[in-house]
Amino acid sequence: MSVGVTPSTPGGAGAVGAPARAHDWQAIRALPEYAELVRRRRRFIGWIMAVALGTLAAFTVLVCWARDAMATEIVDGVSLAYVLGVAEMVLTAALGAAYVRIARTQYEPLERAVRAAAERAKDGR
Amino acid sequence: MIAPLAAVKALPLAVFAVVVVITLAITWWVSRRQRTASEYLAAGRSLSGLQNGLAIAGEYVSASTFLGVTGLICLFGFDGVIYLVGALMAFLLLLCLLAERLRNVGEYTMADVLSFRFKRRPVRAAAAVSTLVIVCGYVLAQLLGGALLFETLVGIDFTPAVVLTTVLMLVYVFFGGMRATTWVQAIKASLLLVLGLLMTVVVLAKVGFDLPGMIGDGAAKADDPSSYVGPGGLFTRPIDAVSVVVAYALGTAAMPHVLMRFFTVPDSQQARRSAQYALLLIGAFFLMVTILGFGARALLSGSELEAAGAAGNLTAPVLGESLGGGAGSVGGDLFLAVIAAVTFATVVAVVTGLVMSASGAVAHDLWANVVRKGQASDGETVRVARLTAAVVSVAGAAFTIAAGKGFNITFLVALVFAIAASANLPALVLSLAWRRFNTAGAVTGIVFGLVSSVVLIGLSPPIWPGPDSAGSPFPLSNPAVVSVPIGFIGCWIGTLLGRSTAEERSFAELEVRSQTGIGAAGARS
Repeated sequence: MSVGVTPSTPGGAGAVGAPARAHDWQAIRALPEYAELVRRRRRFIGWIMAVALGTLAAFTVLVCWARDAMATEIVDGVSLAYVLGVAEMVLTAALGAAYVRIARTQYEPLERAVRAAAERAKDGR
Repeated sequence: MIAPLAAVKALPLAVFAVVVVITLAITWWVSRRQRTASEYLAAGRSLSGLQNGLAIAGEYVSASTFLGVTGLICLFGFDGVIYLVGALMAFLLLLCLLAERLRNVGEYTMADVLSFRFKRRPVRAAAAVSTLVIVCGYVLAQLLGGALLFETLVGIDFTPAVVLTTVLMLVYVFFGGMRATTWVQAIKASLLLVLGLLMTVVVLAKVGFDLPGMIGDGAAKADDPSSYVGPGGLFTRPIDAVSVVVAYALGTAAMPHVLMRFFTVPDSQQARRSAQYALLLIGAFFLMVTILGFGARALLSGSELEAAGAAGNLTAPVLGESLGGGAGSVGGDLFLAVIAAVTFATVVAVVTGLVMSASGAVAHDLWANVVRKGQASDGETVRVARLTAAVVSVAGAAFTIAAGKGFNITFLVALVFAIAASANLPALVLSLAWRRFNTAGAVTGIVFGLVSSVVLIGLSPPIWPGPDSAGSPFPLSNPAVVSVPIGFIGCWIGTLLGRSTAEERSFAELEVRSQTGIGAAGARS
């Protein structure tokens, strides 16, 4: 199914800047580099989201329903709640840094490879 | 108000005027190139990741966090921190799930991405309506902050302050456009970050760098120290806290004016960097805000706390004044003036960005694509954008005057985020991830989310007329925990009931474009 021709549809002026040449989207999806890129991304982002949202959910539950425990002061004035809150923010930033690093070292080269393969496939027609 | 400011003071006014003049100059200088839609709405796609990241950070280190959350932490203790923890998560979501994909798929607005593989007109129309509602609500919250600051600085009343703030904002929007807005945002974000850091250091120095002791001192002044250092000071009902976390964690990532910023960079790598910088800068700022909030409680006297307002909105500037030497002293006045002026200017810049996104939604999504079926000229699009800006600004000002000063800004912002999280996020995420999702699903999802969140807000205790929380039909003060699922349910029901054929473009195309950047707007390849 090749639907890559720039549509002159009601989308018109708002149509994303697709080049006038055609792309065979299904063919690109069949490229091994593409499959690799998508697979790695999905897995890694899945992990990040599970950890991030999981810890946020745990934090929220604790702060809502374990109030007495969370109010216990680790050091005078600094509650367990505050410590966990700060820790969650630091974790969020750390997960972000991890994603950025992996994106630069793994995904960018794969993206370039897919784009190059797509160009070759198109010109080869 | 703050006693010595009964009359207009020269120093604050001078500082304020300098800040305004500089930003207007930047706006004028940058605005000479605002001919094309690409320039006006997307800064010609020429911004770097750092510039854009700073600008995005500028959106969030303004009224809502610097003013609102500092006040909440000062008044209620730890519960204010919950807002921050939720909010920062949204930036991780933006970074991992949305930034690159948006830039790869869309052109100017969130609706470009939402409507990519569906029938354009209904989806764009729904997205534009949702954007307008969200923007009007957020404009209200920000104008509230701006007018309060203006009132403090200059000593005029609330209503004229709202009007003047709106006028100033309109000047920025009319002459500026996205590039000028970004410049102003980035500069102000830097200023406010530096100021925040300075204040944090001074606060810590004043308590001998004994952070735990400082929090303890503040807690000792509270009715119930245990629910000041720990949870429970603000959210008497646990489910209210859950709702706020949901609203902030999801809604912050679904705000149209922030999503719009991801189209101002050359490619998806820079989009990713924008999100990364934003995450780091905002995270650092959030940590500072917790210290400022607790510090305000510990250091400010009773009358100073009163000056911060019943809703706590002016806690940060008042803290600055106190750190500088107190009300009436030269140092105090200077600190107050600088902090208030920079915060005010940031607020104006944020509102400008909001209004830009609304004008983008109406001009690009509704007018150029739906009404004119793609035949609108660039000049026409820009004119419609400016007209929308005027209308939204006036409406926002009217709402703000009607609402008055009693609401905490962060609380209002949480409501707006709830709307965004319910109306925009389900459809956006599902359109990128769910193959079976169709036009009917997208429209239904947006409508369900939008209507449910707005209605539930109207029925909630703080808004429902009558004595406090007496007999309001809906018990929660923030609807997110109910309305976000309703948004998803709407997406699901619409998909099942609608036709799945006759879509504009295939899921395959969307996936490939979003993953690789092939065919992205303004891209080199």
